[in-house]
Amino acid sequence: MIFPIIKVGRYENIDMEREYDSDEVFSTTCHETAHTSHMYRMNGGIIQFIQVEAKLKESWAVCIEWFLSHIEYVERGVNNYGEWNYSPANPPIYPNQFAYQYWNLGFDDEYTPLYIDIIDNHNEIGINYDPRPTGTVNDQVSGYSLAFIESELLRHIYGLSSLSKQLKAHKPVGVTDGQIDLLLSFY
Amino acid sequence: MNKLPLLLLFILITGCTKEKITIYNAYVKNTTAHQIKVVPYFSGVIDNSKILLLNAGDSINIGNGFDRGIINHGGFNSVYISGSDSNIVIFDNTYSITHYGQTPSSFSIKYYLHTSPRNLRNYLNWYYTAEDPSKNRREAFYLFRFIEQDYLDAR
Repeated sequence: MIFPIIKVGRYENIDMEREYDSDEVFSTTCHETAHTSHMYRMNGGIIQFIQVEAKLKESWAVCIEWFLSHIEYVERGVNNYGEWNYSPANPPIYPNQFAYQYWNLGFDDEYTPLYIDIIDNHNEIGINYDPRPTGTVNDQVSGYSLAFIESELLRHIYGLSSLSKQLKAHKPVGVTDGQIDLLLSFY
Repeated sequence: MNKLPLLLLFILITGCTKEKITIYNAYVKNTTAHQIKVVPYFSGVIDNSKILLLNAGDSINIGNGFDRGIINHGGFNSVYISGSDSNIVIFDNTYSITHYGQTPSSFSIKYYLHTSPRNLRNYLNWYYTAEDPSKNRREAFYLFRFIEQDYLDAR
């Protein structure tokens, strides 16, 4: 077993003039740690983990950091931290501003809100996330829990086709195969 | 036994992965012959520390930040825009026009909706260019020019 050394950046810019806000450091730490826990979930195997598509690896870590940051900062009194309508005057970067619901194909195709869309109950299509882009993903899927995906599905997921297969085999009430296909077609 | 393949595999597995990043800078430029004041409203309240003042010809950086990954024209955040409901643009302390983020239930006398090509808050109305100094880094540049028509629309 290999225990990775995780390094998290302290400064926003290359000139080291601006430090990240504490929520960014917290969120990024969750993101990087999520990669390690993901590896363990793949039956503890680095060989299994490296076969997972980059989009699925990064999107899982994006979802974990969003989920944990939301819990942490709601407890600290920011009631809608990380929600789809969260965009303060000095917003965090994704996924915590607008729950990254403004993502589109112009953005990096590895760091996506794919897993966020699977567990949230918000359909972003056509929503104006001013000053970020308007939502383009038609997300009619909801009702999955992060805990269930992590404990039961994650070790079987290597790419979009195996993700689709697992989601369809474990659909919550009210979610159809068509809705799952529609959501995944945007990724 | 030759351990080189094992060593190479170890380095491959444990080697660091460099994060991709997109840096952005956003500027507003006053190309009119008038003084311009840009006033943001946060839940209906003005934050005086976030009022922009542009004399004729002035250019100001209002957004400097980054996104993870290589982003193609994804917009930007600015403390002068993000989190506010609207920006009122006032010319020569006399004529004003409101730039809305979301469409409100009632309107000011002169306004640009978010869909207007002259709305400051819609990042698609900004001139955009980008370059990639390396495969892991993109530097994006946004520019919004206030033009004489904005002044005429506010009059």
